Amino acid sequence: MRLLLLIPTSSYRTEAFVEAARRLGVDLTVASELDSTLATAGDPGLLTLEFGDLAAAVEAAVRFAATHPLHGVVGVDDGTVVVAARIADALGLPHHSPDAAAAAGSKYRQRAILGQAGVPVPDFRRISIDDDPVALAGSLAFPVVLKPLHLSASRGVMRADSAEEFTRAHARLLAILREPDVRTTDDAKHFLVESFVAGPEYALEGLVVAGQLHQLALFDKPDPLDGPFFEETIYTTPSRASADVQKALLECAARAVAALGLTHGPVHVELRHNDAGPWLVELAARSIGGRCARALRFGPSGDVSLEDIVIGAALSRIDVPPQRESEASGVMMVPIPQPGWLSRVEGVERALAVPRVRSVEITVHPGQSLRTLPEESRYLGFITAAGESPDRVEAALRAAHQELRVVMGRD
Amino acid sequence: MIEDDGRRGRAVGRPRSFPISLQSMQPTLTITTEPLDDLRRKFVLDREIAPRSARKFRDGDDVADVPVAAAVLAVPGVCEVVVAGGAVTVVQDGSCSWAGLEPQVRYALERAAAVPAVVASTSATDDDDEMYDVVQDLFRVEINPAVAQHGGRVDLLDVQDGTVVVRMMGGCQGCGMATVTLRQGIEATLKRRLPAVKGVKDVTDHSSGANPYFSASTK
Repeated sequence: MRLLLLIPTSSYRTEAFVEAARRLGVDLTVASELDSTLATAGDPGLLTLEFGDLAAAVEAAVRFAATHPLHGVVGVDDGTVVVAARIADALGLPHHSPDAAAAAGSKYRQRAILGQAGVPVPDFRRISIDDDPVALAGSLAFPVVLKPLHLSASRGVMRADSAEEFTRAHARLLAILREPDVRTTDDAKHFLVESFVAGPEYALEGLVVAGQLHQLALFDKPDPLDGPFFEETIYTTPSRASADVQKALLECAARAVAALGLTHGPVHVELRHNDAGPWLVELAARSIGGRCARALRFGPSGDVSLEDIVIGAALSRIDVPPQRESEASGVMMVPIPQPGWLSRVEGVERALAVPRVRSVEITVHPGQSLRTLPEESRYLGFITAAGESPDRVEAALRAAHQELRVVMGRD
Repeated sequence: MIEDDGRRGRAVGRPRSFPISLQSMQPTLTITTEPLDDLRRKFVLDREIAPRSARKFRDGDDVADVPVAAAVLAVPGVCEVVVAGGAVTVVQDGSCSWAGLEPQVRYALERAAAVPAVVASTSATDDDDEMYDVVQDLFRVEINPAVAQHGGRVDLLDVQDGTVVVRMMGGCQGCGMATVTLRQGIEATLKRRLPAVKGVKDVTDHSSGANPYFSASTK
């Protein structure tokens, strides 16, 4: 069986998905937006697809499939999921539909559809970058959150509690939307302003099979995400929320999945919960990003990865996904402490030696120029841990983080 | 940790003693080079691969009927090619060093000349020493000239029970697409050329890579 895996050259997920395909004995074709140096004519293992040109990408994939039949397609991030959906649709392969994937990939369309379906979402408005921020600020009920339509990792997401804060955040957001990797997209001409929803935040990792949402894991986010920037740090599972709250979160996520028409593939859902109940903050029609999937192990022996499950579902080998391992686990997305260039990170071995820590990965390289939120979209690295309880896992993650000494230079 | 058991650092030209099935009776291509000036270098092949009358081609010319010119002009930095029989004069635009450019031109010439790869039959040796020699040639002729286009290099360290052990350097070290290069490129190429290869093991410390060609930055 051959799987087509769409991976941008900037992805964190490459190794995990490629190694999963190898473990599963799946014939793999990796498609990226740039040529691989070792690709040769007729090579079944490597393909170049213009992810930014949907029609061209689909045509090239269909042409490829004529000589190398495909049995599944997986896109690993928000952009490639939409491409994967189109390709799968053209080839009659199981996947979220193109319309559903596109709707999930647009924050504005997603909120509009969910709001109409009665799924609890924050009040929102889509604002043109040409609108006068001062006049706009006068019409808002604070606190609000400014949010780009299509960026990830909380890049460009800012809270404003007053008109003055709003105009400052507005200027900063417009500068981000003008950056080279953003400004060429249609979504860079608008952004969202939505009401700030208080309460703890959660992340639900799921797999949709034949329209039914299966919860793979529910993560707590123990660090408060109240702004002004929304830097995610720690995820732990199983959730420490009450059974009623967990049930409400799952039901809210399932309603969102149904409302968007997502039928087959992974989903990653961000939710909040307060006295008014659950709120759907964000839904992505892809699996969890960064290296966070390393915190998840499945099956009786804990030897099944999230990528194994995503690939298995794409190849119709999974009807009901396996249960997560019995141990608690978690991941820390290590924040970039200050802007500058990275000289080195010390203490990785000490962090690895902290009890219950499974892995410490530094994913930026010496000499790399780094920024902080809201301008940045990457992390310093990832720490994973597992143990007898989410409390112990959280403590291990924080202890490991304390062992790291990040030495920065100045730009 | 790889133990030194004396299997590495062997002299060039060590005779191959294990059964090899060549896909063609043609010997491997020999290319000698003559620097003409800072921007021009002449590559002399041991056989003719184009008509003897000299023809000059530049970027943008129609080279559909001259595969060797097409292959060499596709190398980044090459702006002009003169082809005559078994001699190819390459003119670069001054943006590259010949140290980096020459392996890529050689690779292009070998591909254009349809040089057959040396392939061991499926029932061939499982001797790691002998496999090392063949894999080393493949790295020199095919793999490293290709990864050099992204500033990378892959060093062959050892062959252990049919597993090829490598270290990735330069642009490959820490590159976000290193796994793709390793599995879909290097491992796939080695297994195609040498079916006795069981797999490739990467012992690179990717976290120390200071100049990766691709850096991860998106969820």
